[in-house]
Amino acid sequence: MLRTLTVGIALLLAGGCGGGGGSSGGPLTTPVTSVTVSGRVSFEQVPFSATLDAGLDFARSVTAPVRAATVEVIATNGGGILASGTTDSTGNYGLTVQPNIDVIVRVKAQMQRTGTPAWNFSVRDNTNFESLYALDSSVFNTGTAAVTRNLHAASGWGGGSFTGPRAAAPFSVLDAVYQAYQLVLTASPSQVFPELRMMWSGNNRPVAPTGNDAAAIAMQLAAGNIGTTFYSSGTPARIFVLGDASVDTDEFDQHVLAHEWGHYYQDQFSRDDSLGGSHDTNQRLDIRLAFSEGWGNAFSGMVKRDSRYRDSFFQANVLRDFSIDVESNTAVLPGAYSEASTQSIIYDLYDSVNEGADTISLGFQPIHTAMVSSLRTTRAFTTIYTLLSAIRAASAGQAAAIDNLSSSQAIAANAGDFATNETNNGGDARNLPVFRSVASGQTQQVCSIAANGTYNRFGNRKFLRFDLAVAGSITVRASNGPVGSDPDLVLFAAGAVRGLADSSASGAETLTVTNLTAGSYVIEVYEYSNQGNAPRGDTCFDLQVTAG
Amino acid sequence: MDVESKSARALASGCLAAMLLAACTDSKDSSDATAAGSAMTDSAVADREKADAQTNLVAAVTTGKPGAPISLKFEIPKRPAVGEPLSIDVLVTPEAAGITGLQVIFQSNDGLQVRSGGELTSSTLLEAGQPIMHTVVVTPLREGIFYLSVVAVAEGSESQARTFAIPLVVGDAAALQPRKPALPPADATGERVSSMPARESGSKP
Repeated sequence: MLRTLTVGIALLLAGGCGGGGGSSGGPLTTPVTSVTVSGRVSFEQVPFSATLDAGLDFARSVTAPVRAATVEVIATNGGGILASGTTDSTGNYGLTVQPNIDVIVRVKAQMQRTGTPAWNFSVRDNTNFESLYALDSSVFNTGTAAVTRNLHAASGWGGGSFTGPRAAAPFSVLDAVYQAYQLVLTASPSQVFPELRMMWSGNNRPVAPTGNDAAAIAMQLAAGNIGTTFYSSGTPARIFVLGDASVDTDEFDQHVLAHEWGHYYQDQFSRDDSLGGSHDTNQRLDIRLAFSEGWGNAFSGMVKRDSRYRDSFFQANVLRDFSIDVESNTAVLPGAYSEASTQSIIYDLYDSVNEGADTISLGFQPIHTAMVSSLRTTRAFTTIYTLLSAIRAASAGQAAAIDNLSSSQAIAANAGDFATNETNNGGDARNLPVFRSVASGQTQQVCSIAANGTYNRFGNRKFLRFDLAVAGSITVRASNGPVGSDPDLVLFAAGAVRGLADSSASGAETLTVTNLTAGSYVIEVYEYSNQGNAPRGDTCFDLQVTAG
Repeated sequence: MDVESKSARALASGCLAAMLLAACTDSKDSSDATAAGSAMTDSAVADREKADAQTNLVAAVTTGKPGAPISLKFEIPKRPAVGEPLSIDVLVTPEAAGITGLQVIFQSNDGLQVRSGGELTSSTLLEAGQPIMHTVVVTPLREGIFYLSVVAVAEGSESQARTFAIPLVVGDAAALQPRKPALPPADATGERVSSMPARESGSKP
């Protein structure tokens, strides 16, 4: 529409000019009514050094295409956008506009498509009103013949530090997103992706955003105090990306970006029951967190077709990185609570390289199917148990291979969503069963344990499964806790919080939730102090559940 | 009604969203109005979820990139002043067992010079949860808001790193607050745009 209108205006203008020019009596020439502006858009892609721990290698930078990005030709006389389109998979574009007009070519750090499939991914500056990054050409006149304008986004690296505009950064971030959604399209060609904003700024530094409410934290984020690169759900969803050139900048760390995009994928298309917080591969984590983070790591390997996750940083002005090989089967503390075990299993399910206990190569499709179906709807939590259960059920003839993978990571084979036959207690017998079944009127003792750490570690929070036979209410009572203890209760239905009770009452808590449909529910109970800095440690309560 | 008293879980999740340097604020006090015996219906939950969605930023799910299991807290005992050495007390805490080596580098940056204590190293097996006290001395070179960069590399079964930055306000904090950036221009679609220059090649008419 826009293009049609502007071409019409061009015809009128050209017609007027042609009339005046005919007075010389020479041969009539066909007036030029439009010209093509075309070219290639690229960015400086900085790879890692071939040597592990040597960080990014700017000397080996390559020119990479800016793919599927929005391109516009904009009149500088206030005429607005004359034509728009997108770059193709090689970064090329071509737009038709009127002749003899001063314009610029603008490439937005945005990939947008409507219809089916559809997406809207953009890279924005969280420290500057969430403005959209764009790469602009200088002003030129379209003239009367085809024009070629190649645009390149440079990294701004000056040999020992960034000395120029870091124009490549948003497009490198955008390219990681491109690769991620392309992987999903292989399994789901009609996928509609909810909007995602990648928030990158050179001001994004590892200063933690502190505050007691969302508004205070939002102000910190807008100032660049993002703490680390992380995913945040919401509408729209956002991924904040470090850009601090003095210590840690992630725009070229493609696995890091794909890891966070993996969280977006899980949150938007599957379900993520993780409670977040700090984590690493050598800890016994809450099984929901272990799955979420292991998924992110494995997903980054799938996107990049490279099992080696690498994260660069600057240490005393020396380029360095650390890495995680998701193909590795060695977990320090193997189990469903291990991020390392989880990523190893998921990547082994996917990849075509068989090693160790890995004799299976499913590719992405069955993993995607399990993620968007069984994990989304499970009445338990989103854990490695649920993923394995779903894939095992859907992959005829592969049960033994899947069970081998589980067993090799000290995870019970064929455990089902509720891990009914798990024997790995993470060092404390009171951690089993993982989901303890409880009947109406029954009292059971449960213990919140801090031996593995606090807040999001295995044993902090205990899970009970309760099957509500008919619609009604559920009342949960925690009692007989030690003086000064503080039990808290949460009721979940398919991962969604249906009720919580978190008073400061000593040693007791009661939660009643009404208007519930029949089905399985999960009750989470924990000692409040075991999620903070002054944990009581092992704290036991009597728990009674009553249907009403 | 306890529906509005953010649960410890939700607050802690938001607080820990980005691997906070300092501990999460204890939310319990603010939710003391919550009475034992609280109740919540499905519709109330839906209302709360709707309200949460409208806050838009830093909602329920916030997950950060992998990194070394190290936390860092700090205390700045006096107001930083130009040219005056400033001792910053730092508490470095291993958050997991199995760390056999630790190197923490405090890096001079724009406006800050590290005078002493620029490196903390340990080559012994560290106990999870046992903090290591350290003091780094920096000299602010001029007035402004500066950031002392910190890189912690933990060795164990594998090497992992985590980065931090300690903000320092040198001079009058109120006067030094960064000016709000000018609102970027909007294009014809109403989109605010941060323009960057391209390196160009090709034919010109």
